[in-house]
Amino acid sequence: MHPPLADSGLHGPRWPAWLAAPPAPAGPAWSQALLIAFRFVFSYLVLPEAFGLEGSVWQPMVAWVGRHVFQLSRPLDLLSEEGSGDDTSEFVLLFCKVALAAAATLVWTLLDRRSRDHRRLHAGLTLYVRYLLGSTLLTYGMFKLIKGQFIYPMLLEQTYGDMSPMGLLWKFMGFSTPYNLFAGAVEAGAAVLLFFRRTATLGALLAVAAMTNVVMINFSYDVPVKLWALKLLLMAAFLLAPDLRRLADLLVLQRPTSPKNVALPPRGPRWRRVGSLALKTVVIGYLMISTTKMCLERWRQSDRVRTRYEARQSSVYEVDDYVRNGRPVPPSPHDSSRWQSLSFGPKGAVVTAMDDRSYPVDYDAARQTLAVPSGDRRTSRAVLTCSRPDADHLVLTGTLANESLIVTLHSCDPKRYFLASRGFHWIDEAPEDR
Amino acid sequence: MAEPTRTPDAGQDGRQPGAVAPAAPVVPAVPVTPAAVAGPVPAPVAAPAWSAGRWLGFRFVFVYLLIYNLPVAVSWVPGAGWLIARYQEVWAAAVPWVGRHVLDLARPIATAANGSGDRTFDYVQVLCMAALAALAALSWTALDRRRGRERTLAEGLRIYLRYTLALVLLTRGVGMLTGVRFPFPGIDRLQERLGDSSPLTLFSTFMGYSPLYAGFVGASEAISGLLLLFRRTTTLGALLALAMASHAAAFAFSYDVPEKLLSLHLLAMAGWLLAPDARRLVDGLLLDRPTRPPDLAPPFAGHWTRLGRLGLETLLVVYALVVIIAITRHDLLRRLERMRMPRPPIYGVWDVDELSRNGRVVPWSGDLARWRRLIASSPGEVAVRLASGARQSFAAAYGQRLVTLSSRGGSGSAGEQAPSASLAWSQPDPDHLVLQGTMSGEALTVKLRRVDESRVLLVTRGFHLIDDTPVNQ
Repeated sequence: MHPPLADSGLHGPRWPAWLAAPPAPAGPAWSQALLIAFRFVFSYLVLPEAFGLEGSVWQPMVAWVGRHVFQLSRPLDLLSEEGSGDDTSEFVLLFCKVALAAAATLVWTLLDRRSRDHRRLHAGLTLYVRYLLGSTLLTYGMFKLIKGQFIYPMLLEQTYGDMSPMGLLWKFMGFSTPYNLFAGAVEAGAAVLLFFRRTATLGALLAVAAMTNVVMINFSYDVPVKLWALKLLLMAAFLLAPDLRRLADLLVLQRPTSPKNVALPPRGPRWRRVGSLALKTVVIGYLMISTTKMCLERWRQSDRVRTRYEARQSSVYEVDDYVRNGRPVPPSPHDSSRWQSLSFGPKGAVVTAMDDRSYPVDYDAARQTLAVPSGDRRTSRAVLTCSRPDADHLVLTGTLANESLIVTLHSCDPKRYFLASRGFHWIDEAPEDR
Repeated sequence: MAEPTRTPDAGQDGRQPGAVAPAAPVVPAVPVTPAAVAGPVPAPVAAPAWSAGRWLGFRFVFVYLLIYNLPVAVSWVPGAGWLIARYQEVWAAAVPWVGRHVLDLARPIATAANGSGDRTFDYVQVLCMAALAALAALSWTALDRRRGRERTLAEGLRIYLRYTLALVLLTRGVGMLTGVRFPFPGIDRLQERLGDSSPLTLFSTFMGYSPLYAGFVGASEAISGLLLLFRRTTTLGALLALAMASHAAAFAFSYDVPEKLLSLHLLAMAGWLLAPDARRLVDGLLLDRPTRPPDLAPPFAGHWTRLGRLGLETLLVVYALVVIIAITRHDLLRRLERMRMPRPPIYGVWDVDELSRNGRVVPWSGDLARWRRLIASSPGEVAVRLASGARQSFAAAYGQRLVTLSSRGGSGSAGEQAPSASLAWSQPDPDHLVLQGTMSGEALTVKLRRVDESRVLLVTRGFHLIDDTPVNQ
């Protein structure tokens, strides 16, 4: 599938067959600035991999730098399970990586006085970034395609004001399956295009478009994945950079363009061709299979059918009677201790108190128990037993904060929420903006 | 805008030296001769005359898009508002007639504009336009036997589409950039439960929350419109417009945004503008083959036509700037007007402390239809949350210390029976409100207390560059 040009003998001297690597394509020498910039990018992207990606290697360095360089009073924990990709330790880690890369660039530049260009290293790095970015986008895209990243909102009684910006985004994305399919198809499509050298330009273009949108969303809705999204965007931009001239010629300047891969490496001996083809097949096959496997696991964990069923059908129970120490507690609008409702979702259950605030509780389906945080700071846990007198009712009994508790609940009409019942309409006689 | 005249084979002879040299320094560079570049590309031959089917199809598209975009095209002309109004009047008369007599619809088609672009009216209108275009294409083909005007007509349609599509995209984009299309959710919306809202409301709340994101989407649409104004940047503009139109269509179909027809038309128009470049784009971006530049030679030859074109295009671009400024000014004024909109005298979110009906206090748990919270956000509207959680919406009219509420429906079973009321209001102090009057024949007294409406999480959370404790609720 090489363009005819590849065989036209434009490639200069033939390399010995044992030298498997492609020859350094000839061309003008790089400017000093470009050489240094490339060395920095290479060191930044490759050095961390040499150390190992895992946080355990970086943790001591980050803790030390945080204490001694930034004079932070609080110890930094890179491995914390807080779920934020933008916490202080991540910013310190970024600082460390940039500093290391800068140091490596300096040493490299001092030692290497002979290189006119780094075309071969660039080709290698491009290959690495294409597959790294491609496999990441494939994971994100396929997760969206199975609707495993954003699940259908389960707390439909939450008011907009009580959501955090990130919560608003999650509910927005979780509501619509078609929109997830659209976003997922773009990301997975970009990934597949990135896997092939010939289509990598279009893949990088699509990846830049998709990642720009993600970066803007993460910055706009306070999603703590800003650094990671920016890194992916910069990787896509790195892939697109050599093509900018061609793209400008093609799209704006309306000049003729030549193929990107005019200087394809010589075909080499047969074993090399077959070998590289086999390697490529194995790598792409592995990525596809492992991603699919991950998606299937995710699907099983919170499978879509159950998510939709529980969210759209009867997952919400409203409190009928709330009896504390034998005395019924009447509902009162600002009572934060009396419950209003209990919702079940794929990720667990949530209690909404009378003051409209919600907090998660642990539901154990096997033992039919509900572990409820109690106390002022909700640090201790109380366990309530669930029983179901009939299909529509739920009774919870147990002791909460040293008080006996009996809560009777009834399941709610699944269609009572407009958002769940609205559905798709080809014809809108008026904008339905309630 | 000067367009260098090129012969169709300018790719070989007219190109600038170095124009095809692979982007130094990063791309592997091998000297490429012009012959090598143009080698695999077949030499251009005179385009064969169109087949009868292609002519018919082209004429259909030509007439259809001409009619569909007419209001936009006319709105380029200053002071032609009356013409658009007449044009719409014709459709307002024709569409219901077609609905009744041709399509045999049981209900008459409503013609009032209400912000939806997907009314029955719009679908029937599109159907009529397609029928008209088919009729016109057929009679045109029957009557006109002349040949060789393909280029002129195609180029004419292209210019028409470029300028109309550009205006639509610019208007939409500027509307988002100025915050007119998606304003920040008001106190009424912030008090609304997710489940009570419609998908469209979820969408507009999402977009309205972040001026940054709405501005990003708006800027992308506006830029694609700007690029369409120039012949050279049309390819890039159409590519961006295609991306933005797909995004708009994804929103429209996923969140019940009533611009499904519009977004599909935008998508088709961007696709039409890209079609002549399709081969080049596939070669350059997907198959990694050499490409030749498009033929940018203007279809209207001759020295004076060229000068005329140049003058006309310069005029158009200058005028486009004027139009953009006018759109921006219009939007900013609307925004200012909205900001200065008077607040209702009882503006705010109010919790019901005590409610008595006919002199008897209604206990909190006694009645699911008891008011729980009252929200007065705009002069014409009052929303009430009931004890059941459902929401009632009232149209409000304020008099001298008096407010008249008339039901506008609501959510849930209680919403449908919302009655009307005439209530006198008084404020013992700024944080307390008392409403007194009659509601469906019963004497009603409501004592309310102000809730600090600005202290909700969505408003207070803000942006965190360093985010040690993410909040996703």
